[in-house]
Amino acid sequence: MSVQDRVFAAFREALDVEDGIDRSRLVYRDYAEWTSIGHMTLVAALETEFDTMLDTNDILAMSSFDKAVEIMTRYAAN
Amino acid sequence: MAIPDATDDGAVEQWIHRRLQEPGGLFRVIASSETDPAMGFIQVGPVNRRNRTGYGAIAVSKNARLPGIGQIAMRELMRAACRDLGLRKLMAEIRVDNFTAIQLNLMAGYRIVGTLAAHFTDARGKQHDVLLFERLLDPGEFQAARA
Repeated sequence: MSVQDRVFAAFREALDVEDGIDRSRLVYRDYAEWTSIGHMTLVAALETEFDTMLDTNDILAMSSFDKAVEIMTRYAAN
Repeated sequence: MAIPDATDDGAVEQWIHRRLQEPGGLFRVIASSETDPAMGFIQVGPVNRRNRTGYGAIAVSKNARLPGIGQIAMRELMRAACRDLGLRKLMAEIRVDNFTAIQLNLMAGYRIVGTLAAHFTDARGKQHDVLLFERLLDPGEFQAARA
């Protein structure tokens, strides 16, 4: 499974995202489920999926699906 | 939990001074290195040095728009309580209707110990039940979590 698919799986689990959604719509506070609490759930799902603990700056920077993929690509490489 | 008697600059300054004087506790402001203004704070106190336990709390401004700021504050609170103060347990009291704070604490690994009936009186004199939380702290889990 690609990093993008793994990140999307975490989004689906944490934010109840439907499979066919336009992923560019997944933006912090724009997407209804992606609230501050939703962000915590998402971070937990990503940390589980990638078996890692996210750095503070990465948690703060994760403001869209595309950004999440960019960040998690680094973790997947390590 | 507390209700401030006043919120002018002088009162806030005195309040911060009292927090900084808390024996064995800590008070730290959350601020962005990019945008500068304070976004909130973390605090530990009162602390029981013999038992190595303390009450922890975070506050984040509604204007803080950064994703995950509450989560990071909570992680830093637990890390600092454990690594900097040497505590082995944090406790928290949260009003039963503060759903966001309850979720935040549960997701951070706190557990609900019980309910303190009619424990908090708000500014209008209404009494509220309060949930008591506890979180055991393991030094091993906070080695890489510095905010």
